[in-house]
Amino acid sequence: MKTRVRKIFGDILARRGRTALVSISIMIGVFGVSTLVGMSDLVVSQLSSDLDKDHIAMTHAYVVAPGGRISAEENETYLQTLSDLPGVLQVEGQAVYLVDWKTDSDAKFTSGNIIAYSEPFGDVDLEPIARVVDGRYPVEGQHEVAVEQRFAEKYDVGIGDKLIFRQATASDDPEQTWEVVGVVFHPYFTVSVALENNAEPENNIYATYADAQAIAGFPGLSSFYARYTDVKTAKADLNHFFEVISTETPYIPVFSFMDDPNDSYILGVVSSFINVLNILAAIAMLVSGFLVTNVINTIVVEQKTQIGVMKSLGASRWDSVYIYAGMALLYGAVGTIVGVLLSIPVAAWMAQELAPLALTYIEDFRISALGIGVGVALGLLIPVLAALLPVFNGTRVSILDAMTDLGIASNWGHSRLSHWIGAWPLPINIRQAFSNIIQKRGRLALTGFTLMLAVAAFMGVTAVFSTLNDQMKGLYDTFDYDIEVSPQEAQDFDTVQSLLVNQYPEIEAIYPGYSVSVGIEGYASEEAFTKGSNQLNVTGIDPASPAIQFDLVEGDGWKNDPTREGTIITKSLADRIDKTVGDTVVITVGGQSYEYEIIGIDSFPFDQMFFNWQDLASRAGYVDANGEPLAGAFLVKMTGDPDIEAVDDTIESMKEFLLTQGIQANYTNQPKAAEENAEQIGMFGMIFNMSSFVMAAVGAIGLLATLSMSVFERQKEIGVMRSIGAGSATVTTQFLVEGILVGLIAWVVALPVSVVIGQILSGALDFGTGFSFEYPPQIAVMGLIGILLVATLASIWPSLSAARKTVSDILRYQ
Amino acid sequence: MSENKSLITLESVEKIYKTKAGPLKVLKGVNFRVNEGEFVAIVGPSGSGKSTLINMITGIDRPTSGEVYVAGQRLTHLNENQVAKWRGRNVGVVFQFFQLLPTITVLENVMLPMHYVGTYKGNRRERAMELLELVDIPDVADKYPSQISGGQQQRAAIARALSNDPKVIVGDEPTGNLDTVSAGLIFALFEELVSQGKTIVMVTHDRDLAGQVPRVEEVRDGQLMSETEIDQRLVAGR
Amino acid sequence: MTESFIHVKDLVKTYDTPAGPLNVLRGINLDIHKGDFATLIGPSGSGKSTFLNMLTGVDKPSSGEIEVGGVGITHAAQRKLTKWRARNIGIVFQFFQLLPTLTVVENVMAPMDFANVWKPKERRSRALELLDRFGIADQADKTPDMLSGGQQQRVAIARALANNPPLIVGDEPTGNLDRMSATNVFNFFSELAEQGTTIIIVTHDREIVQNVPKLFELVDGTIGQTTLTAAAARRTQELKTLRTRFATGEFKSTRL
Repeated sequence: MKTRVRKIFGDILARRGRTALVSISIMIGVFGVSTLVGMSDLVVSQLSSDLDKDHIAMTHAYVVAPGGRISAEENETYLQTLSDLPGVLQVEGQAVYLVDWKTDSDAKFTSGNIIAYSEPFGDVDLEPIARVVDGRYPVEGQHEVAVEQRFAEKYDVGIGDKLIFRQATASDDPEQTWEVVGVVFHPYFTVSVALENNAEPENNIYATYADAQAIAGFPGLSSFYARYTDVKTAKADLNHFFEVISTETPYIPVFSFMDDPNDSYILGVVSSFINVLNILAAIAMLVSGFLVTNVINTIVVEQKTQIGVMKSLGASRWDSVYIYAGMALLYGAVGTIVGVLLSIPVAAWMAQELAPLALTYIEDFRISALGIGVGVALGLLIPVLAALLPVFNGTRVSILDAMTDLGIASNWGHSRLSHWIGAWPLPINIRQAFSNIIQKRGRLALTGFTLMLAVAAFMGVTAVFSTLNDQMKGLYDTFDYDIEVSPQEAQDFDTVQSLLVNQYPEIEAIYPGYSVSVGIEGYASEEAFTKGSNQLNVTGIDPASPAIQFDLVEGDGWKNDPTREGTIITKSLADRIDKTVGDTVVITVGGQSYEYEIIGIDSFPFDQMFFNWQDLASRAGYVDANGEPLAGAFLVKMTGDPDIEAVDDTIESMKEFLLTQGIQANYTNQPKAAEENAEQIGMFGMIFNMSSFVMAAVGAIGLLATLSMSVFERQKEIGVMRSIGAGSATVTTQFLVEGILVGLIAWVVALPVSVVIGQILSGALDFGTGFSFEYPPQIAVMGLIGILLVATLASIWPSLSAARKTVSDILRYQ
Repeated sequence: MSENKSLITLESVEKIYKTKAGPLKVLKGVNFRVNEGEFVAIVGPSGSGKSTLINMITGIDRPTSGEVYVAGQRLTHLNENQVAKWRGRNVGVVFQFFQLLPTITVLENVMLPMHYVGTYKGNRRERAMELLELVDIPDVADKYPSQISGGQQQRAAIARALSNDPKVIVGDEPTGNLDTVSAGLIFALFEELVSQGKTIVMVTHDRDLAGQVPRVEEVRDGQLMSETEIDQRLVAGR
Repeated sequence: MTESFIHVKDLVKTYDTPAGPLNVLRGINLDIHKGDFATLIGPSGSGKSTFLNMLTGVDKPSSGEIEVGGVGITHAAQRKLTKWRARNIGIVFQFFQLLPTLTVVENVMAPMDFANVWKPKERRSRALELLDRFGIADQADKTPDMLSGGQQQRVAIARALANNPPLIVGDEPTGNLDRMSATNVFNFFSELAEQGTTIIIVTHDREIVQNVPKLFELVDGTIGQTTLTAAAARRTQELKTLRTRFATGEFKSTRL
């Protein structure tokens, strides 16, 4: 029927400001949803296709070799031993180490990673190995290497170029020239103990094992990974697997990483992160739905008389529903089209940015059909659904009621609430504001709810990330050293210590350290990497040194007696194994079990145990020819409180120096790590807060729209006020007060909701075992300031507009 | 010209509205004077401009050209904000569509003009009660407007109009929503106020009612009719 | 005597108000014949609009019967009533009540769409025909706010005629018109009545009803036929009485 359609379009075009407001709000919501769903769809799809479920390894064991050069042939034997274990289908090895390289035109060396496998490149099964993009794989003994595609782009290195490597061991040619014969694409890369962080593809160079060993001088493989018949067997066998490595190979297991190919860890982490974002986006979409409800409600109230007229002309209830639901659909369509179109490039870009964080890579511009589909579906469905209630309500009106709407319609005064408010000792206009808000509570509730949700989300998210930040800071404060030096080959502590101390006067002290993976009796790991097993990567320190600043909640630890026997465990671990100070804990390392007394419980937020390093290293078998324990790490404390640059400078110099001494090592700038960590957390927090900002924007738009509609409805009231002497200031104040009151009430309700949101969020994000969610009161204040700001801004235009209406305008409308 | 004794003076007042259908001349050079203590009814068909005329007196509307003086104030010299405040102090408005504010009590409604203008500090409640007694509805003081009848609401509106003791009361269809008897009562109330010294100008389409008022003016097509042109029936009804 | 087109018997309407029950209509008996042009006068608040709402079925009486064109509308179901009204009554409202976001011609087409009369293809041309009869066909594609009051009223009347109903009901149809337009409208109604359409108008405008064929007055909730002079005299007397009674303090503290 043409009349209905014409009315829909006529009404939409007649109030362009309002149409724009509602459509923008929907557009924001759709944009958010489409972008986030699309982005996550693209990343997850890519990741899924990278992870070949049928070939991916289940057990990853990261190891160190205590010394010497283990050849490829020797590795063959060890690999055979491991793959002979019951349940094991296949075992492969990987070597990932640091190298310094430069092209022949570079002046300085750049730090990079060298990667080799126990199998020929083309035969690697258990990891999605690089595929050749250009050229070919390097062949052994020909001084050939390949580089990763992103390496090639970043450093502008290609086939035929020569790379020069430098390595520590004196016996080999210190500077070697190798030729790049291929460019590969390596989609999924793993953690390396030697690097203590991810091998980033843009620094990756590939060579065969023997060649890589010649280049980097490393002792042996850095990890074994195995595929079992099924994941259950793999998990059950982890300790045994480690035991075999310890006892039947020269390698020492440091930590492990279990993965279920059907339920990949990475996929899981990425998915849960994305799910939370999606939920927030969906909430933002719902919130814009509320605005539609509000607006449509106002429209049907405004058009009460028109509805009556149409009914008297023969329109059925369904005709009216068609018209007003149609308007909602049109608002949705406009917002959806723009929102989806905008989301396409943004989703593609964000997917490419997010991919590396998810350990994958998206090369080209992609469009997610899912993102578009979800955006369109929600963008059209939600406005219509949101409109149904007010539409059914508003079109119910009888012709009689619709047409006999005289004066200021109001039923205020029949409830106890109205009389109770009447008794408050407030100025008349504030009491009036409260009464007005309560009277219109249905509509303002929706708007207030939006704002409330926005500020609750903001406060909850900020609280979570501020807690996280504080606790991470606390964590980093535990480590009172500036540089961690991890040599690639085992070194004697005293030798290295005197070398460095003599060379660098800015060094205050150097402490020894060591870490290794042990099995703990009665422990079921909740750590993502070792879930289900009883393995934990524990830390050895010199108890006499201040390297670790313990924050003991129970027991004395090594405070009074650094030579004391025993271990300090963290609270989260203590809770998990249900032990306390004085109890004994049994650990298995190097194939044997040992008992330790718990002498202290620390507040460190992760599962961890601290031992005397010499004890630990000896038991793990990390010893020299005389059986003396070797330090795996050197913790350097510098004098004063050096800033990040000073530490970096020292590291640069130290690196060069130690290389001349034949020591290749990995260096960690602790203050930098702490800062980067804080930045990362901050960045994640920003992303999450973006969604609360989106909600705040929609909420503000909603408040603006609601108040504007309120102004329009209450013209008569404004007319009355003006006619009996109210100046512009009085009228403006009335509306401003109402808007701000709505904000205040929303904030009060938001407080408990934000705590709930915070709890849910920290649970969903699964930060780790020891984080307890705290809610700093400053955040509540921030939320209050924010909402007052939003409410004021959203109320200003409507209140000024209310004040500007002249009485004659209003009368003329009558 | 502002030295003469009339309380209300309109001089050559013209009003032209710009509408989408073109410019509409609603008042075409009106000259109108009301002395203190008069009770005037203004009649005329719809669209004749009588409401616009009234709006000139209250300052709710402004002439396109001409002058308006009320209670010694030249209204055209005031801006919108100033007019509102002046009006609160000097003119009591009783309009058909401007009823009581719904979310405050009857008593508070009567107090509101004093609140807006800043008069009778510390005395507002008492004065408001007195006014409600004057219009004979003291017992509804603490009720909300929706709880009282149309007639009572209109009487409360009159009490509100008297809030700041203005010299002039202006009504636009003050009995428009009321039944016959209530309308008559309101009219009688106006008569009493006039006897107490107020000046009342009232627009009505009820010619019979108008016929009871001492002075009747008629507006047709934007102009005031002269004495001779007024319908003889009105004269006969007095 | 021809059978009456509109038959009203003992119509009563009482409202419940916060101040007590209000008897607006107190037993109305009325017969209108086909082709009559009847005008109902009475002051504001006398119940004229209430009575009209009874006639059109928009409101239901507290008791009594109404028959229009042989159809008993007091007990009819809502949906049936809606359909019947759309085809049988053309309503001219007091403030025009044109739909503001439709053009003039679309406004006139709306009743045809909602009642589903005339073939869809014919509706626009029929609407234009009606507008032409009132001399405003050239305003067809404008929105109502672009027209003067008189023009809008003519559109409203054209709309009321859209479905060619046998009964036209007008609530203050000339309420917002200047003298000339008002007179024209009444003349047009006379013509329509002569052609067989029954017309009932309600108004408070004494001037315009000087020459109407049938005049009724609503007094004290009942309707009686009257003349203009008689009506005016009665009202004046009523007011005089009221003033006297007020002066003697009879209405002190009344609930009114």
